[in-house]
Amino acid sequence: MDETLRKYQEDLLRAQLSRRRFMAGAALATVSAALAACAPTASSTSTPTAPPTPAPSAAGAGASPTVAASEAASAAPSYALEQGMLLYNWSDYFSPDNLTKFQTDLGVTITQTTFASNEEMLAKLQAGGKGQYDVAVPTAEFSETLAKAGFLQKLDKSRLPNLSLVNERFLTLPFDPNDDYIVPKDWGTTGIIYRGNKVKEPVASWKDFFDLAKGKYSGKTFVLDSPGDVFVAPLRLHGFDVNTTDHDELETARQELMALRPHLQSIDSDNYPTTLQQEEAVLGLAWNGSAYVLQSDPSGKYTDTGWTVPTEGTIYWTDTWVLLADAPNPNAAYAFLNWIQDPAQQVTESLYAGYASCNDAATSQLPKEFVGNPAVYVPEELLGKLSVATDQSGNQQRADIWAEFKQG
Amino acid sequence: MLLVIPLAIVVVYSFGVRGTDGGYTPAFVLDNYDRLLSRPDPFILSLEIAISGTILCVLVGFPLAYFLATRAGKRKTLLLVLLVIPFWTSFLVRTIAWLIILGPAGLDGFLTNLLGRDVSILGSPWAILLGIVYNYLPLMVFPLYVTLERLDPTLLEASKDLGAARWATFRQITLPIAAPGVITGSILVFIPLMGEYVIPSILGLGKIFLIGNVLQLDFLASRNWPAGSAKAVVLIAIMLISVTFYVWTTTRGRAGRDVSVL
Amino acid sequence: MTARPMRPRVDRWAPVVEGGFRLQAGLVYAFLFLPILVVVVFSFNGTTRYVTDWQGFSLVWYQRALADQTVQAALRNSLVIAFINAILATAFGTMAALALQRVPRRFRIVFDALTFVSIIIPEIVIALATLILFSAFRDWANPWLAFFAGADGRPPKLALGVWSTVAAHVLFNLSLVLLIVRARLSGMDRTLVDASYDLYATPWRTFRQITLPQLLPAIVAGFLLAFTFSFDDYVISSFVAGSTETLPLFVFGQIHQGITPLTNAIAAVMLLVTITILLVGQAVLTRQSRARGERGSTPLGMLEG
Repeated sequence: MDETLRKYQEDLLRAQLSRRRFMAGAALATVSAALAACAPTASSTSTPTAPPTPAPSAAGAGASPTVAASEAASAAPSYALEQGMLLYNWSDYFSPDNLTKFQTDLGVTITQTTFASNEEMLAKLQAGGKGQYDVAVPTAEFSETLAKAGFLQKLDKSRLPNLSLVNERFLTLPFDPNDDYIVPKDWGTTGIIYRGNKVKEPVASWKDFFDLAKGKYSGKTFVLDSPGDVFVAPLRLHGFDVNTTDHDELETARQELMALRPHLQSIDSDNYPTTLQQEEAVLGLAWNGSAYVLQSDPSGKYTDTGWTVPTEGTIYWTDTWVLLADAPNPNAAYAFLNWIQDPAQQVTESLYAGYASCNDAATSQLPKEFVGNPAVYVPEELLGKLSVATDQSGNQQRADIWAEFKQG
Repeated sequence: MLLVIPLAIVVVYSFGVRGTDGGYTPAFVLDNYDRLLSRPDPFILSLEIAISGTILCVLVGFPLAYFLATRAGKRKTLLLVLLVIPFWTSFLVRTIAWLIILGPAGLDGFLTNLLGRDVSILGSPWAILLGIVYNYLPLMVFPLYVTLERLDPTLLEASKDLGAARWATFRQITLPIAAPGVITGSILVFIPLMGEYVIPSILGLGKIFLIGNVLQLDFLASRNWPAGSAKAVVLIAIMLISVTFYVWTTTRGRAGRDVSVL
Repeated sequence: MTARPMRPRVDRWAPVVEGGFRLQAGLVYAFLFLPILVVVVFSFNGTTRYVTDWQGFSLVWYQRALADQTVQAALRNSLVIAFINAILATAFGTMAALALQRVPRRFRIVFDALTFVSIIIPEIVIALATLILFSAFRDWANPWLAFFAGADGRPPKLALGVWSTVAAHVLFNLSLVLLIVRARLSGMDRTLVDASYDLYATPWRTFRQITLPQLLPAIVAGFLLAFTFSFDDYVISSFVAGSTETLPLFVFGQIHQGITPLTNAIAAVMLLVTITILLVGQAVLTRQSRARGERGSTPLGMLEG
């Protein structure tokens, strides 16, 4: 009988513990991250004798530079490459071909760790301190948060000649006006996705989207689970600035959103490609990459997937490479950041992820169909309609509206 | 100790004000609690779902536990282990499997064809309840099993010999003995349920919004720690009350027994 | 009350009730295993990307799973971490349980309370707290290591990785094993131990020949559980694993890009591994206990009370 008790206890604990990982203690957790806000400073100040400066050195074995008391070694900086580089990236967002190529070209092995959201990345950096990784891939506006928190290194542009190949649209962005921190990775837009074999009506504007969603395709429409993207639709519908904080404008947006809400099939950022594939939804507010992925699916079944950049305008966003503070392998990191902007690598990346390159030289080398595909590259005439979204997560009214919207 | 400090911080933060870039600025305002009280919906919905989920678990779990404790005989061990094996797969993968089963390729599609109109279990509270019962069932069954195992069959026999109807036997003999198990199981299901947000998010298709989701938004998306902290404090308070209640009821009738659930 | 003997009621409903119980139990088990079945079945889907798009029976995802370097590394890491963690947690947990036996009741209650608290606390808080702890320790320790290793210029540098994950898991599973062993200990027949001492056996001997065999099922059970928990852990690993990838980390990462049957194949493999371990464990113990002539001392056999 005590055996049963014990077995029950163990299984109970075991089952409980696996439930735990999803408790809303994410709240408490991030509060611990607040506690950790002390930790980074502690970790950078508590080093007694030789601070682990990334001193350039004759690269010893292992992925870390030596914690040598020989700061004197940097008389003439020789940027000898370390053997490894630590990349912190979204899942499935870096071409394995490029990974191997970096190894062949420069002899550096990249170890990749993944995260599932910007916030997760931030929490981990806050809790674990600097020096965990070399390069990370935040969404552009999030890089500002990282920079302010001191997690990024200012880029020494003299070591990144390939930056000159980047289209100016992606430079001097509001969150990094001097391009001190970011190296653009790729860019995309938020717009309207639809299954052409089911949706025969014209879908050219946000107005079309709202009308169709509330009308014929009620119950078959989805939107992203992302306030920064979803707010764009009602705001642009009325011609407001996507970054507005005007109370009345946001209130109008709220009304539009709440009118749309009952007609939605789902509010989801992760599973919607499957939803579209199954035709559980045939219309949606999404990111362009998924349109390309569906269209080009080898089975050939989803070529009818359509993508629209709405005529009222929408946002474009970039994902960026950033160099983290106290990176253990800075030389390799710099080499990487420069190397990845090489047109050849950019082409590989673009074709792998399905997103447009920020690099003009690369764009000219990509296949015509790829560049001509509106789901990847925004057509010339609409480029002017794109604006950049800034981080509005602090706006209380928006937060309230979003909570109400999610509530239904 | 490492675990108590975050709790203290949460309480302090709940009175603060959001910093300009998110985070926390020291303050002592009741704004957050205020706003919380003016929008109690997520709490209410969470309570509803948590309570119904718990009740469902009891309804489904009790017969099973009873069967295992009294009827399973030789196969008892095997069956108990079988109960647990599904949990050796990744939680997320299991939940996604339910998406398939309940989705257009599965139940939803079947019912739609059958009834001629668009049926959607996914996205409704029913899907969530199903997911809950699925994932939390062992948590209910095991405590019930443990208590029911102590049920002396001779008592039941005696009751039958004295002419009692089946239901009376159940009510007067089985139930009181099983009561601690029911309470334990319920608390152990209810507490995590209040904070659950993954199951609602996936099976509710993002449309069902529970306290867990709210906290996620507050802390991760808007990085409004004070607001989130206030809600967390209320949540913790609710849980503490239930735990205290549980401890009180179970220790009441158990003076002298060294056996705690732990 | 008369003394007239009462005739026992004819229980006409008995077979129905019995059947009902069986049916309900059967349904519940079917319910529990349905998704597992779905996961396994769809892992054989020859589709290009979308799990629900059945495109023929194929082993391509298993191939891909086995060919993928990251998956292999993740699987390897998970197994290694889980195994080491299980050994350490079991060892320390058992020792702690034994130590607690001799400690005055007051402390035991405190300990119980602490364990209770650690259950209530969400895993993610523990993960973060551990990460902070480790990072602080690492930053403190590394320069010292450098100092001592001095001359050859290549001191071992503590970093997050396999060992930090093991450590974090051990911390957690330790209390798990502790509880299990303690429960078993408290039900143990003390007279044998007393008899052993009366016969002048040393404490070590007593432990080895009396206590240990009786505890063995709990220890093995704790081991299995610690292993399983570590193998399937996501939250703690995601924070303290540094640049080491484990299988659950990989699976969760896949979720964000969309579910392909790859995750199904991996989940099926995970299932296979854990079931195999259990069966092996069970077989080994049954053989052992049969040799010893005890029937009920396997972790599973023990459930029959």
